[in-house]
This record gives sequence, C-alpha cells and structure tokens, in this order.
Amino acid sequence: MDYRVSERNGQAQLFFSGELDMAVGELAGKLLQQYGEKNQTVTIDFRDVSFVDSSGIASLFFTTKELLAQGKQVKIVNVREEILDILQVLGFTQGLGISVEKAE
Amino acid sequence: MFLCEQCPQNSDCNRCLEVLRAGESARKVVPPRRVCVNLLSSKKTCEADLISVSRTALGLHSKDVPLHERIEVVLSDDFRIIGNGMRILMNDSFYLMDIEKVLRREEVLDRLLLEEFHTWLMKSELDISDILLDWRDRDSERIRLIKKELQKLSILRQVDTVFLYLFERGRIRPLGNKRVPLDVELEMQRVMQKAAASGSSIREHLVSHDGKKMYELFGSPLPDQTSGVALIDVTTVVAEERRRKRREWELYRDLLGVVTKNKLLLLNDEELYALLREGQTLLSMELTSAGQLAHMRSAFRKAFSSLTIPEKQLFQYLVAVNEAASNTIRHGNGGTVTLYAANDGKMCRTVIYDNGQGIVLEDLPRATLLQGYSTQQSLGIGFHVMLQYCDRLYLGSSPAGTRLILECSAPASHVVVSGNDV
Repeated sequence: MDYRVSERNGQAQLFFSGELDMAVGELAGKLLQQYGEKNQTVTIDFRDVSFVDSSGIASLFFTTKELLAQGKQVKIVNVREEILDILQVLGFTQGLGISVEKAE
Repeated sequence: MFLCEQCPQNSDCNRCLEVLRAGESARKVVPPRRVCVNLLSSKKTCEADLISVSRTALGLHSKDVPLHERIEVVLSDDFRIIGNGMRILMNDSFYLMDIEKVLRREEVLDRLLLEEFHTWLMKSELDISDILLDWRDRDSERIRLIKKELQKLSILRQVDTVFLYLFERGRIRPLGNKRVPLDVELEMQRVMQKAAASGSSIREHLVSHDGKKMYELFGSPLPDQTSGVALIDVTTVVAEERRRKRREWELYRDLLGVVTKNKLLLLNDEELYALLREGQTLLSMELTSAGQLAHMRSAFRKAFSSLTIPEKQLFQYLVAVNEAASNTIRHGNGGTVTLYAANDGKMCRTVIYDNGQGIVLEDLPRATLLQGYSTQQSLGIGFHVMLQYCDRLYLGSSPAGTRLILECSAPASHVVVSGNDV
C-alpha cells in the first residue's frame, strides 16, 4: 500500500492506494493516529484502494474510535462500490457512525 | 518348649505367628535375623534372634538373656523398635514383644510398617528366596505393594480388572493367573527393560498387534530390586469415550448447520477428503507470513480467469479467501492454500490447511458465529465475512490443525456469452 498526506489549517487528508490487508493494516492505523493527533479533522481518501479485508481495516477502526472519543472528526471518501460493500459487511461504517462516501 | 524345634522354618507350625495375634499380617523371618537388643530398665545390651513380625508385635528368641522388661530392638541406626518383652512360657527362651513405638528415619510411629521392615530386610546380603518361607508370600507382598501404588491413582476404581506382573532380572512374569496375550507381554517386557534403566516409575499405552485391545501400563520399582507392573485393559473405556466424543461432535455439527442454514458444515477428515477428489487443482501455495497474501491474491486472480463465475462474486470470494488465509497466519502458524475448480468452471473450492492447534469443539460456535470473538487483536469477524461471501464453508478441526474449504458456485441463472457475463 502507498500513501500521501496533505495538511492545512487543522485538516489532514490521507490518500491511500493499493490493497489494505494484514501486512499493511497496522501502518494505516499508525498514519491515521499520527495525523489525527495533530489535526482536528482527518479525511481518508479511498479512491485508489482496490482491496480491503478485516485485518487491513482493524487498526483503522480502533484508531478512528480513539480519535472520535477525543472529539476529532474522521471521514472516508471516494470509496469504490465493491469496497463500500465490504466495509458494510465488516460493520465498519455502522460500528463507527462516521461518514463514508462512495466514489462518484 | 513353646517354639517347635525347627522354628521358624517349619511350615507345619505357626505358633510363632499365632502368638502375635495379628492374623494374616504376621510374617515369619526366615532365616531368623540376629538383632541387637537394649534392655532399657537394666541398661544392658544383648543379642537375640528375630523370628516373627507383625505390625503390632515381634517374636524374639533369646537363649541366655531374659527379655521380660521394656526393651529396644535395634534393626539399624535409624530403625529401632521399643516395646515390652514378655515370656510366653516359664523358663522358655521365646519372648513376645508388644510394639510401643517405631523409630524410622526420624519419624516415630505407633506400629511397624511391614514394607519398611521388608525394605530393611532386603538390604542384607542374604538371598531373597531365603528370607520368606515361600515365594508366594513374596509375591503376595508384591501384589499388595503394587495395588497400594495403584490406589493412589484416583481414576482407578476396579483394581480387579488389572493384570499384575513382575519385572525381575530383565524378564516379565505374571503375579497370579490372569495374563494378557503374548504379543502384549513382549511389548510390556520391552517397555520395562527401558524403564528399569532409569529406575523410575513409568506409564505408557500399549496396543495389541491386531489393534483390538488397548492397555494402560503402570510400572513402579519395588523395594526388592524388582518392578511391579500393572496393566489395565482400557479398550472398553476408550471405545466408550470415542463414542461419546463422536456424539458430541455430531451435536455441534447439527447445531452449526441449523444456525447457518447449512452454510457452515462440520466434516470429518474422510468427508473433507471426498470433496478434494472432485475437480482439478488450479494452484497451491504455502503461506507463512502476511507479506505473501498479496502474491496469493494475484495468483488467484489469474486462476479465476478460467472460471465462469461472475466477476463481482469472485471478488467477494477472494475477500473471503483472504480472511481465511489471514487467520491461518494469525492463529495457525501458517499453512497451505489450494484452489480447485470444477471442470466446467462453474464452481470452485479453496482448501486451507493450517498448522495450528485447532479450535476446541466447545469454542467452535463462538469462533465461527460470534462477531467480535477473537483470541488475537482483530475485529474477530473473519468467519462472518466468509459466511457472507461464500456459498458454503466446510470445517474440520483437531489438535493437528484446522481444515477449511470455501466453496463458490456460479448462480444457476448465470450464462456466459462470448466471454461476457450475463
């Protein structure tokens, strides 16, 4: 998995690309934690994420919970339809109550 | 004279035993043992012959020195017996001593422990066969000692189902009339030869050559340089336990089938094997680390090109396979992944074997159906995903590992026209 980050005025954007599985899940979580602590809002762009499973998303899930508990905001945007389906089956969206937007 | 002329060797006379009033626990000391006697009142020391013993009394022969006072019989420095000596007949040299206290290795007892006495007796250089009147007495004592060891095992309730043997000078012989088949005796002898070298107790399973009988062997060293061996026929017990486990397994199988509407099926190894015989192998790979998962997915995508299953369904199926493969790495110390496909390409099965310790039967419902249940740091919903994205799951688990088959079939309505899905 590759990533890039942009930060501005207390808002961070994380762009993930590739496959989010057991091998890289922890990295994704650490990145979210790192930029979530420095900013009030974090938007994760899933445009180029082509695969996800429960192992890949677990760390993101737990880190998002912690940030929400700290009063931060987390959004996931541009999710491909097939990936959104998986996130729903994983209970990611319902479990966190965050905004997850489908790619147009 | 109270004693017969050949006391205590005379097998027709038991006066020296009867006078001890101890029933069958009384024993003759053959040949008589010369012991040191301290007369505690007169402060003298003499020697006497120990002729008979029981837990509560001793029979002594003292020709020259009267022993009718409080005395101490010294068997060894750390084995002494205090009691009151009394003459049975006037002017006779036989004395009965009622045991008051026994000092054995800094422990003071009220009675003589015959096995302790036996141990002390056996330490001498006398030939063992001379000590007791009859080898049957010796074997009776050995049987008693073996059974005493067995009583410590709380699982045993019927000692009369035990075959008792003695391991002596490299050979096995039965104690009593009951014997096991020759092939089992030979195996027993082999085991005891190895155990005798270490000098410690041993417990092992033995199976008859025809495989129809199972035994538990308990071997324990005895004080006289032999080993007592108890062989318990556990064939019926084991068979009953297997039946019970089978019934329990069937109950869980039915339960999981009903709850998942037959989407999750427990299968034994034979049934799993029957599934693998169908179709052809498209790919197989070992998995040992998370870094290999990307390569696995890439290989699967290539193999999927030969299947006539809708692309979206295959994508979801790949997610399920990846979940199972991740479990193998996280919980199962790695394993193997193999993809099989039906010849017409309308159905595929992925077989995942792991090298873990398996899932305990009682944990199967939680591990497979309860979302959030995990023994590791994870979401614990892998099985949920697999059940959502597969048509069927077949599961077998044992201490040797877990076997999982994920099945995917093209919908009945799916038709492939010129390479495009419809």
